[in-house]
Amino acid sequence: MIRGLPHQPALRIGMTIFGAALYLWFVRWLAQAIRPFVPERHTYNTVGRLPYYTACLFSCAAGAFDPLGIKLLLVSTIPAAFGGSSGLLWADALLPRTPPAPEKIFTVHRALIWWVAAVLLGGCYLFFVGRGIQLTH
Amino acid sequence: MPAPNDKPTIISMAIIASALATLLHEGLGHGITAWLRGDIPTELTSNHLSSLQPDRWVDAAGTLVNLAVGAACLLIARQTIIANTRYFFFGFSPRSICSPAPAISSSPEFSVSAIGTK
Repeated sequence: MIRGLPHQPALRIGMTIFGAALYLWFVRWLAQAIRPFVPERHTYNTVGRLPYYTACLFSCAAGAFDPLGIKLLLVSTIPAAFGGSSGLLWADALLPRTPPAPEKIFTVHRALIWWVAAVLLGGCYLFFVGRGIQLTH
Repeated sequence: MPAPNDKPTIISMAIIASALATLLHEGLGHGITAWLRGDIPTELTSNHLSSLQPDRWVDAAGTLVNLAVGAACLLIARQTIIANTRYFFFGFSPRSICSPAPAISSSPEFSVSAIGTK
């Protein structure tokens, strides 16, 4: 993105600081949004960490089929998947201290429509996008 | 004591969010931007979108789309009163915002051996 531009060190330092600050701010925002689903701290393992690991493994599964090969998976897909959203692993440290009122507690209910959608979309994604779609011939 | 959260539903939502976030990044972000700028996208995978011409705006567009969609989802999540919908938007926002696509170029100069140098 910045290749060829002047002042490379300053640009890189600026981008790093801006990115880290934006990330921290976003994770704090995220922690506030998830608070109604976390009446007790241990609940965060289910509503915060479980989807993190699920999405990471799903991304890696899709990346394993990439036509560019296993090296791309190792040096790019896995770091991006596990590192990019790693804020979900420690967002519970930024949860607001005040627990939600009982009437404001939310719970994820069993819903088969989400299961079906995940199987269909996830399967198509792995099979088609994972293996790559040629857009021109 | 509230009912426990349903783990299979949470896993399902995470899979959907992950797939959609990547499609938004690669397809809408890189792909549509490349097309609008007169470039020709050649291949779409879960890791990258290849196009014929190197273009900074195409490179940046994926992340910009993720930022916009992720922030919008978080705002929607905070306003939604249906628990499952609210949780999905909550789960979709970090997948979108915090998951930059692998740092590889979309240009034809890209090769696996160059990963990490761009």
